[in-house]
Amino acid sequence: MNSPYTPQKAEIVDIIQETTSDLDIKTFRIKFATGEEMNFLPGQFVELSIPGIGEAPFGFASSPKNKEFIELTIKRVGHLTDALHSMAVGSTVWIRGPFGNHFPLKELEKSKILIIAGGLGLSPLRPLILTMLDDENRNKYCDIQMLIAARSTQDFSYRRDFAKWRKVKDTKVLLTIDRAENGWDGLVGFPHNLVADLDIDYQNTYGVFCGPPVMIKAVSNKLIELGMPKSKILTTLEMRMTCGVGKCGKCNIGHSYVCVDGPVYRLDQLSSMPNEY
Amino acid sequence: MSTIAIPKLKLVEILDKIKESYLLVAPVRNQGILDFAVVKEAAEIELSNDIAYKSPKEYLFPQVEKILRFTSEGGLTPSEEVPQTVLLGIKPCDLEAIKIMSAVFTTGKYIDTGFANRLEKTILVGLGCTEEKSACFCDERTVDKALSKDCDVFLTDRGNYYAAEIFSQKGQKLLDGFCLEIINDGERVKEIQQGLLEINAEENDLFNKIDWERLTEKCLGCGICTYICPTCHCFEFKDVVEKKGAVTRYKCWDSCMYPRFTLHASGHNPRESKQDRYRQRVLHKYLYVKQNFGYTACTGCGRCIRSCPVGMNIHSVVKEINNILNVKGEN
Repeated sequence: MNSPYTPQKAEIVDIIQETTSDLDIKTFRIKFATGEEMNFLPGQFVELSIPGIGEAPFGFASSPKNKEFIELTIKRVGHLTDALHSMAVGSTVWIRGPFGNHFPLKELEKSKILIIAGGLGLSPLRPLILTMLDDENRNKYCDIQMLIAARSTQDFSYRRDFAKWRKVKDTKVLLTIDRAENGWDGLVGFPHNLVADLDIDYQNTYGVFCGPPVMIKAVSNKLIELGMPKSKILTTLEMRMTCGVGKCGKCNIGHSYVCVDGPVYRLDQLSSMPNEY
Repeated sequence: MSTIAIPKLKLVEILDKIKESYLLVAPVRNQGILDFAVVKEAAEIELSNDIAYKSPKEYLFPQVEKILRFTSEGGLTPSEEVPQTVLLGIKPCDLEAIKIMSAVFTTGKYIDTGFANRLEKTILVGLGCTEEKSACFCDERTVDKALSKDCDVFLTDRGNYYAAEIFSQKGQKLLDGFCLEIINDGERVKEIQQGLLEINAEENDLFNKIDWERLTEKCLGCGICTYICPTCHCFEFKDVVEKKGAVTRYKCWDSCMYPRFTLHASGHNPRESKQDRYRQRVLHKYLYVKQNFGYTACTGCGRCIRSCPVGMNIHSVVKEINNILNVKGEN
């Protein structure tokens, strides 16, 4: 019997500096040392270990179709992320997973989609976006609008993607920053204050969003107010998921364990749960 | 399965024999405190009505468990083998707790192999209580203090002998070869419990309609209730770096009563206040585990009440919650 707490050896094969601000965010490309592929679905996460420092959960940020490596986009905030940010290409890390549920890809087919991302909240949504925008899948989904928010122009991750995503048919990418800056011709303001101005058929569109807890609450309230059914609003949560397999007792919201029942939740599920996230 | 008689005069001899093949863990009195310990001499075991200070949970779910080792050569070695163990003298409340912890650790998509291995290699020998101790309230929970079938062997004190009811092959194997007499102890059934202490209310009502701040006023947040509880199973991983560069990863008990228990890396904390954390503890026991596994994760052992430095009492808190919700329900 294999322990679900045992990680596999992996190697950092590339590092991409995402932000130029004081929010230090990097994307790490990682592959298993054995060469084995990691199969996951958009919305799932892994536990990443650095021996002697510890372990923490991170959502997949790459396309599940990419079998060469996985990508994890990580902000420097504590001991583990400090150590990771100091690592170079070729360094060893340890990975276990994938864990958690995933976005209901099949259900989203034939529907219009509104993606709203706040800051690093774009990271767990990126595998979904990349899957839906992939040539093989693009015809399965209708209009896709993306409202991507960052604190400032220097805080956007995946800038390299935006131009590519804009070129895909029936796809719109809108960027917003918290406060106006010289030379910025995008939107200014928080997503929940901007969403009403978008051209959206709220009753017939799936809203998929992620961001800090305060944004999750504000955006959900706004989407409901605009008439989007709770059953068509999806979000992904982040909690302290130590074990990742529903045993350690850290990530529950009421009786729901985010690491196994989530991290992807529908708003009708979430609104019946205690407000504890 | 059969019932056999173990004469009290032969008990030490039998246990000493068992100790040759198994790690024997049983209640032992040390400086006046009865607690489970690895037995050196069978004669030191105390099988009495007294409840051990701590439950035997740490013998299945160790307070600090070595789960793996990153070697200095860049490899990984799994945890060590678990010894064959006999856990003797477990009261029905603690057997109920083992059943609840088994549901958490050994069912679902993922199995906690550390717990599962220990459970598989452990023979559980229960012991009935004749009377309740101060702060016990197992009679208001689903526990029959005189009998539990959630074990391999269950002992009942019959004066000059123990009636040993055997409930599994593991239990049969343990007592094979001792030439003990099979007896007819009569068919016993678990007593039907009256006045069960449960919370039957909606999650959100419990969350919002109860004045948790008032209920938590005197709590120090010391966490003793969670460490002493036979069903509390929360944990954290800790890495320890050895001199030669190898790293051992441990799985260590943690407590939902501690402020950093749910602290996110971002600084956001879903359970920031003491009342949030106490609410989590009560509702996890009385609601969430029941919703997820069908059991209320409180066995009425009373240890949290006896050990609390400020006299927090989960029994009276649950009763008060029920009173509040009933009153509110009538309005």
